Amino acid sequence: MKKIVVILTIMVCISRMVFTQPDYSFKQFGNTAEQPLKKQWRYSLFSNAEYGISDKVSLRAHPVWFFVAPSAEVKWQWMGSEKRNIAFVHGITCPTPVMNIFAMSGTGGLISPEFKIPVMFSIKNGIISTWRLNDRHKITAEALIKFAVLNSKLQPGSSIDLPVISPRNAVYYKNVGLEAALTNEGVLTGRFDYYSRLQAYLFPAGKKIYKEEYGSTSRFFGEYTAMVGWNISDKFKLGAGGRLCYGEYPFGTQWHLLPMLDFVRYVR
Amino acid sequence: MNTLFIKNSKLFIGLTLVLMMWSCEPLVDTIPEIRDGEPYTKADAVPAEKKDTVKVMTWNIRFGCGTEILWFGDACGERTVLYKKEVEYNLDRVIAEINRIHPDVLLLQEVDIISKRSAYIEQMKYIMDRTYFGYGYYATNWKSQFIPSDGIGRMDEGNAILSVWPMDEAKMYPLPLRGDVDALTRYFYVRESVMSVRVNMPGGKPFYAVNTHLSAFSTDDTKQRQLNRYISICDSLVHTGLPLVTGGDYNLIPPNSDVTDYCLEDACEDEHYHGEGDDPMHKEGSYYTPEITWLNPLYSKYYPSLPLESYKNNQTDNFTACADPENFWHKTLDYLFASTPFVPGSHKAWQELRRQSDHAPVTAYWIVK
Repeated sequence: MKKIVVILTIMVCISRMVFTQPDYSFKQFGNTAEQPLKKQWRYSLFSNAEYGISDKVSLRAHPVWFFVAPSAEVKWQWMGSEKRNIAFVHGITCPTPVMNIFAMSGTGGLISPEFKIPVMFSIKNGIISTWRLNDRHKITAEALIKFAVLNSKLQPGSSIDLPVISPRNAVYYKNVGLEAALTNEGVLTGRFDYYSRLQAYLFPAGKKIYKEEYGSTSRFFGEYTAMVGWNISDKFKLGAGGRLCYGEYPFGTQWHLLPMLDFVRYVR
Repeated sequence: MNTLFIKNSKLFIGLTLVLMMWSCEPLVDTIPEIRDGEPYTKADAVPAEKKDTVKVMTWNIRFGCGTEILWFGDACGERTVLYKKEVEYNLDRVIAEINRIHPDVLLLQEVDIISKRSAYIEQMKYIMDRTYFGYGYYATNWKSQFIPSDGIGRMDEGNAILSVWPMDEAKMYPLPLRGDVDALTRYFYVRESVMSVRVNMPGGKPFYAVNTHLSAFSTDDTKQRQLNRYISICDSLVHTGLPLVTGGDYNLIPPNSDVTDYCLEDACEDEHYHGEGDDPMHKEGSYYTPEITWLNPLYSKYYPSLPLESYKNNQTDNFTACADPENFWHKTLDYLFASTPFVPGSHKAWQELRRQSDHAPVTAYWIVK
């Protein structure tokens, strides 16, 4: 009985602390067309960090991941207003180093060491637009096209047929990919925010070498991510939730639900 | 639209939780208990006529890898992912021999179902579509969405029983796991199993067919524990009063074999065994000396298609396994046993089939009583 009273007291204290905090200024978790202030940047665990180079241009890259899978994006704000922002995104990614790391014998070998991973790049170009519904909720829509450039053949057997990885790697096996996303973010209550993102990946064409091996598979992938963010401070937000993944893998279609844990830190 | 999103902002959290409950699937199928086999019966299957002696065959088909491809591990190669044309070529060779040998009941080991290593080919369907068998069952013994080692990836490997007569009561019994590997390896490793079916020959007496594949590389008593479980399963089926025929790849050599140590013969170029300071001293899956008596209980309880005396007098003609394509068969790992006798002298190891698999098929005529 004593234990129950102690636990209930702690729970009441925590809930009072969490839910009675005054409102704070809402900051986004995911991609947005809005431009960060000059010299302002934010970084997180799984998403690219973003740094404001000027009032119109920002640079995006992952501070750690960059060294094993170099990737950089430039976002240029084309149109900006209180209610609506539109920006263009251009990026380049090279997965060769990280794929070579995982092409090994023994535990951790996600790719068979028999495959040589060519030097390859994907180039993406797209448009992103954010609408502010009010001070506490916003929607972002993205549309991207990706092209892959390789210096030699990439064998289909080297694919890592897993959720999250497959939709991001399929362009190297297919040459061209289209991507669309719709993100809805806002304040849930007190210090808690919500984040919801629906992504679709389409690979309409396929290389002959891939078709011979796996047919017309890996054409479509979809992801739905939902997280609750806790603003621990005005500069740090912790997010937890799940990601529902659908994919047309070479072995057939499959759904996965993965736990998600991420943070974002804002620095000026 | 504004109101819609704001009003529903909490709804997606509940929706997500519901979806979480709905779609959770384990990374590895640990096969914790007995389950039913998966049927592959043809829609237009017509049962064959009754027979007094049944031609039974067992064959470890090595997932369509053949022997020319140097598979990693036991074949000392580097390949872990096969191309579609390679698998189809090898499966076609296997199928051609099955159709030529023409058994009535076929016990297959190492059949892959949509596995990364064998180009995601549904091998059970591939074989059923190209053979005369009307009835088939499959039972997995290694199923994982992804094996994070050597690029193996998605895996579903198992045993199968094909028959010209209808089958039912298909069961899969998991066998004890390897005890000599760490917990992480054990989690992802092949689990080995026994599968059984009841074969219903029209106008004849039903009988049980049992198929198994025991651990290939264990260095402790895993195989003995698996064998004991296998024998107890066979015993329980025999106690129903129906005859039983069984077989498979036991990964054990006959108790009266002249050679029990294949470490040096099976060693890859960069491997050393039996020398001072060699660790391990013996190659996994090649040192049978401590296991040499383990098959005795099976020989004492059931009729072998190849009696020990016959084997003793002519060992080389009855060898059925060798992973090195440059060498000929050099040990016997594949067996047929039954609760009633086989036709004497009908045992045959098809040694001329050296390229189709690292195991030769074995056939025998079994008298159904």
